[in-house]
Amino acid sequence: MVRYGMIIDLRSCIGCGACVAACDMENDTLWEEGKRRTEVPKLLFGTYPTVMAVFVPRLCMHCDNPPCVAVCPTGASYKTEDGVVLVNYDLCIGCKYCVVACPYDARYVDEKKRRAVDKCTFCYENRVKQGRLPACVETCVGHARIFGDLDDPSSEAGRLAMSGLARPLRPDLGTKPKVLYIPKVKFE
Amino acid sequence: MIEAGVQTAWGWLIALYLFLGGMGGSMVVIGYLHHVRSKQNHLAAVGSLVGVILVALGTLFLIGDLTKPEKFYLVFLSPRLNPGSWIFRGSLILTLFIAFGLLYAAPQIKYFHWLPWAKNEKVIRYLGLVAASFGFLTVMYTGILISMARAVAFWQSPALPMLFIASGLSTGVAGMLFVNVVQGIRASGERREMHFHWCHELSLWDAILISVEILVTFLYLYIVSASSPEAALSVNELLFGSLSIPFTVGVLLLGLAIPFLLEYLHITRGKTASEIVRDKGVFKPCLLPITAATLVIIGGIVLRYAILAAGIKTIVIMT
Repeated sequence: MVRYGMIIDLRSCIGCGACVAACDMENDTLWEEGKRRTEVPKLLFGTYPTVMAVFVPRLCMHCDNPPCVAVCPTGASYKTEDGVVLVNYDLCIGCKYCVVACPYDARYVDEKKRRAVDKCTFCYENRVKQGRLPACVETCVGHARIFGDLDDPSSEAGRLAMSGLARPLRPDLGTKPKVLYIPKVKFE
Repeated sequence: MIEAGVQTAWGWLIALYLFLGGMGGSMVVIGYLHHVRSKQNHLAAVGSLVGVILVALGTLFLIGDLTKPEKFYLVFLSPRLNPGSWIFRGSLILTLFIAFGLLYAAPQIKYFHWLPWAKNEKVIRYLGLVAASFGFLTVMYTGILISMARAVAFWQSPALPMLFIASGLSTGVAGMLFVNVVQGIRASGERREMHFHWCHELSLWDAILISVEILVTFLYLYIVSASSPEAALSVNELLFGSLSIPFTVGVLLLGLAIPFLLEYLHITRGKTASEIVRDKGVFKPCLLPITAATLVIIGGIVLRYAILAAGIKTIVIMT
């Protein structure tokens, strides 16, 4: 069984936002502030004079233990066999419990196009199942996004995941994210 | 460094829903207790009916907040129903509460005396017990619902459902005070005296509940702010940040401190039952509790909103 995940190398991200654009083109999302499947905010670390700006691409973490799936009343949010967390738009009634429960702010309400809660799918149906990479990964100029099977030691993503170099966000919550970050500055 | 954001998915409609669930559910609890204690049912019957209507209204707000309100039935009928979700469990509790609340309250109202169990006090009492239990579950559920959203550290405390229970019961007593005074104005003689007496009793209950609520609020904010940096951000927002006016003035002062003082004044210096007969009404002698009840209700609404609006999530922590 594959366990799809993504490694994000913060050392290589230049904040160009091509991933955001590629995602919108591929998935026909709303293109509104706060209503995107992936975003690349610039975060500032430290205090003057030792300040550093880091681009931290954000998307759904496709948690192994997803809080959104646990709270969804209708089962619209679910995890596939490959560990990808998806939303069934027909079953979603838009109660927004998952939006509130997601620690990574990965979800938003799409009132216009899908009339449901929407989020990153890892391009599961439209690309990954056909053996292609997610749109954001394919377009990334800095090779900052690396997609693959985290359990496969022969893949680049798998090697990085097992190296101990890449870490999840908020590991304290026990959500076990499958998007891992290689820090530009030391995590702790 | 902490990258934090406030949850905005749940706003006023959900705050009103949580409030109405707390107030309506409590009115049936208080009504039933009053029914058993005083062996008189007319305050319990009308109060419970009002409680059920308030919860039903709250349910409409919940449905109105959905992105697809027309598909609300999927909460029960989805082919992949998740029985672990507190939206599903809450909907079930609300439905059973409304059903048993009506079964309990309706036969005691004169338009529904034709119902087969209307003359059987024992059956009505048992229905009352079931309705009051679901009423209490409704009150408790409103607190559990948001505590189960694990992303928000500020909500991760057993004191939050306790706060909602204390606030819910207090607003429920406030609602009963209104029903009681309206009934008292329309009654005469001995009955009016009885309503005035209940006004006194309800004020006492409310004062006790408000003091519990003040205590729980203090313990909750104090301990949760020490539990994690992001919960401390929420508490900071409530006390000193953008929510400080609604929270300190709306909840702490107008919703808790002033009503407590008013109820206290009424209990210690209010008029006696013999004076009320001379006053030919219950409105004026019950003015202090009625003012307190109005403030308690406003405070209850603002409290729900402030707690939701202070739901800060911390997404990235790095050094």
